[in-house]
Amino acid sequence: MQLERSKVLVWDPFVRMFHWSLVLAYLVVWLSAEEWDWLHEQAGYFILVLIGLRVLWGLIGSRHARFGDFLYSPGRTLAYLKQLRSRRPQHYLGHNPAGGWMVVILLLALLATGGSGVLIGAGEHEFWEDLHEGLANVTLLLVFVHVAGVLFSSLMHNENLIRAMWTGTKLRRDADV
Amino acid sequence: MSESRASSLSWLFVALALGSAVVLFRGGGAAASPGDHDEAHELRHAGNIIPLSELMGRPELAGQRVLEAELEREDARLIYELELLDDAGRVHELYYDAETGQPLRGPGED
Repeated sequence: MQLERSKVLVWDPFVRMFHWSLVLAYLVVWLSAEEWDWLHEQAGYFILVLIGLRVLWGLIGSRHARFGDFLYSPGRTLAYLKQLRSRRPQHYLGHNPAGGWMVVILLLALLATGGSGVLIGAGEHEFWEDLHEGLANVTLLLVFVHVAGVLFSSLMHNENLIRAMWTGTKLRRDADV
Repeated sequence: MSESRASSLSWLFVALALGSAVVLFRGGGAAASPGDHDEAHELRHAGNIIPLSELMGRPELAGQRVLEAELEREDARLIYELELLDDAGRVHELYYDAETGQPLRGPGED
């Protein structure tokens, strides 16, 4: 079987810009927390704006940016995780099923963290502050899972997913979904 | 949606995100909260805010241990945020208007 490995644009400019801006803003909110309030709050609002745009783009955006492209049923997702164990997973041009769910979970976690942060200024200060800190820690944990998943998937499929998120292109394979 | 249309829309979204960043981060330094010790010191010496020591002399604060004292800016207002440990070992937070010394229920509300 001849492998056809043509380069295709998978991640459009906004998806990439969103991803790396989010990484940067995320670093800023962590480093500025309890140190530089103004910076922390503005970067937090920026993250919320990014998430709002990403959700909208997930509905109307380019093919692989849409939720419909990468949200698979729980059965399909479990099947993919099993394939990972057998070390012969199906290659997806866009997000694989596990990665797709990771996107949604990260977006929700960031939204909840940001939302609870906004509410700190609206009264019941202590309650929202505790919740905000708790959610921030949950989000950090998810970021580690995300990075681990990307590294693992890159090794499994022998492709550099970090570079793909930067350049936007991937090599198409014969049996791609 | 056609490829070219998706592509220009994608750039539109990039522009929207960048625009929001400009709006949010414009005028950074000037509006920064008085996070650093020096600025708190200056405000205090200029007589803009009451000293923390004066606040701590209040009867309702007597005998409480200060775990953390912060000077925060909420909107245009300067607020002392005190984290206190009372005799019963409970931790609670109190807020005061740093200019008038008025006790506040929470940041930004009276």
